[in-house]
Amino acid sequence: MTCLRHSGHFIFRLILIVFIFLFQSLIVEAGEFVIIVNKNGPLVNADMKLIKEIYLGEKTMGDTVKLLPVNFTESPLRDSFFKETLSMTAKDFKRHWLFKVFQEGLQMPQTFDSMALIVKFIKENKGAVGYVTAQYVAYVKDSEDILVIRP
Amino acid sequence: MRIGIRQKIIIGFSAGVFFTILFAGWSWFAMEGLFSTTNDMSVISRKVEITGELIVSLERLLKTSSGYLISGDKKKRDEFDVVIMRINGILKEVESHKGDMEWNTAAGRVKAGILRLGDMTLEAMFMENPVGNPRSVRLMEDSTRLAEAVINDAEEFHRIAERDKKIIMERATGRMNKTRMVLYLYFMAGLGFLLLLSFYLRSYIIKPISEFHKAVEMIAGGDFSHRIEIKTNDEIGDLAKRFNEMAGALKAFYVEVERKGVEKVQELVGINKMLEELSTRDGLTGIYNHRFFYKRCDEELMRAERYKRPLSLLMVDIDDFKIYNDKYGHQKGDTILKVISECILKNLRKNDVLARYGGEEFGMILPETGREMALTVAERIREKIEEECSKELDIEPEDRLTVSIGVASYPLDSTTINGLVKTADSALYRAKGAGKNKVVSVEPQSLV
Repeated sequence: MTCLRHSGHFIFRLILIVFIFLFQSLIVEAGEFVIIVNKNGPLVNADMKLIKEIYLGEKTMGDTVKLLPVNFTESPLRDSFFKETLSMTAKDFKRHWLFKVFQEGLQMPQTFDSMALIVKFIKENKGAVGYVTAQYVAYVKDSEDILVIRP
Repeated sequence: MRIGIRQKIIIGFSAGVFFTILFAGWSWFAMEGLFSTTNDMSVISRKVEITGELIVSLERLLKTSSGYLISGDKKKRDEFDVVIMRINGILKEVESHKGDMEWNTAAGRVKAGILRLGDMTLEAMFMENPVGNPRSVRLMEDSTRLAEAVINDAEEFHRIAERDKKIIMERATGRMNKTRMVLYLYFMAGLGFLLLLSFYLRSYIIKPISEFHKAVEMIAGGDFSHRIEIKTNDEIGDLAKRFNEMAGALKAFYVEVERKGVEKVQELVGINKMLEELSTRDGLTGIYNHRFFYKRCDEELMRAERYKRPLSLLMVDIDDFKIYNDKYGHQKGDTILKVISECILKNLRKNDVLARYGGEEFGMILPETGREMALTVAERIREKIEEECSKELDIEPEDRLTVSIGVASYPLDSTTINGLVKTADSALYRAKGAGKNKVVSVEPQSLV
C-alpha cells in the first residue's frame, strides 16, 4: 500500500512538472513571481532597489563579477515583474535598453523562453539575477544553488 | 692613379656589401608594405562583408515588426532583442574600423537612424490588436520608409568600403609593379656585376696567370726571348715587368754560358783530335804508326772479304840504313826516314795507307788492288825513291838511297792479316837477298 501511495505521489509530481513546462505561460497568469539569485554570488542580500538598478543597466558590476539580469520570454509573468519591480511596461523597458545598447554600449539582458534555462543560467553565473514563478521554484528539487528573494 | 688588385677587391667587396645591405633594407620595407597592403585588403574585405551583414540585419528588424503587425504574434517581440544586439555588434565593428570623415559621418547617421527605427519598431510591436488595424498599416509604411532610409545610409558604407577596396587594390598593384621593377633592376644589376666580375677575373687574373704559365713553360724549354705582354698598372703588371727583366737576365746569362760552352767544346774537340793524332801517328815522320796500321789492316780486310775485292800489302825497308846512320849520324837517319815517307806519300793514291812499321821499315795497304797493280805501284815507289830522294838529301853520290819492297795480296797469298804481313815480310827478305833495291812478291818470277 505504501508503495502504491508513493508511486501515486511520484506520478502526480511528474504530471505537474510536465504541465508546468508545457503551459508555464498559462500558469504565470496569476502573476506571482519570485526573484532568484545565485546563492554564492554578491546579490544574496540584494534589495529591490538594487534589483531595479541592475535591470535598468544602472549597475553592472558586483564585487568582482559582472551582474547579469535575465528575462523570461513575452508573458504575463514578465509584464508583472516589469510592472511591480521596475514600474514600467515591456515596451518602455525595451525602449530604455534600445538607448542603453546604442548609446552606452551595454549588453541587453538575455531572454529565455524556459524557466529551467533561467535557473540553469543563474546556477552557472554568480552575478546572475532572474525571476520565475513561485510554483516553479517549489517544484525544482535541486534549488540549493539559488536563493529566492521575494518582492 | 694606381689602383692595385687589393684595392680593387676591397672596393668590389664593399660595393657588393653596400648593395646587398641596400637590397636587404629595401626588401624589408617592400615586404612590410606588401604585408600592410595584405592587411589592408583583409580589413577592407571585412568592411565590405560587415556592411552587407548590417543591411541584412536591418532588413530582419523590419521583418520582425512587419511580422508582428501582420500576425499579432507577441513572440516576435523577443526577436527584437536578438536583432538589436546583432545590429549593435555589427555597428561596433563598423565603428572599430578607423575610417575617414565620410565613413565616420555615415556611421553616425546609420546609428541615429537605427535608434529611430528601433523606437518605431517598438511602437509597432507593442500595438495591441494590430491585425486589421489601419494604424498598423500606417506604422508599417513608416517603418519601411525609415528602414529603407537607414539601409540607404548603410549602403553608403558599402560604397565607401568598395571604393576603398578599389583604391587599396590599385595601391597594391602599384606596389607589386614597383617591387617587380626594382627586383628586375636588382637582378639586372646583379647580373651586370657578375659579368663585370667575371670579365675582370678573366682579363686581369686568369689570362695573366695563363700568360705566366705559358711564359714559364717556354723559358723552361729554353726560349729565353719570350716576353709577357701585360701592361696593367697593378701588381700583376709589376710582376710581368719583373718577370721580363728576369727572362732578359736569364737570356744574357744563357748566351754567355753557351758561348763559353762552345769554346770549351771546341777546345776539347781540338784536344781530342790532337790526342787521336798522337795515338795514331808516328812522332818522327807524321805518318800512321804500327798500331794504326794493324787497325786499318783489319778494317780493309773485312771490307775486301765482304765485297769480294782484292787487297795488297807492301812492306818497304830502306836498304843499308844502318850504314847511313853510322856515316851521317842519327839525325840524318831521321831526315832520311822523313824524306822517304814523304816521297812514298806523294806516289800513293788517295785511299792507300802508309804507316811506319818499325825502325826503317814501312807498311802500306792498297785497297782494291790486286797483285799486278800492287807490283806496279811498288815499283813506281821504288823508282821514285831511287831517283828523287837521294837528290833531296845532302849525301854523297855513291850513297844512293834505295828501298826493297815485299808484296803480298789477298786472297792469292793469304786470307789473314798475319798471313799477308808474314808473306810480304818474306818477300821483302827475298828482295834483300836478291840484291836489294827490288820489288818482290811471293812468286819468284815476279822479281823486278
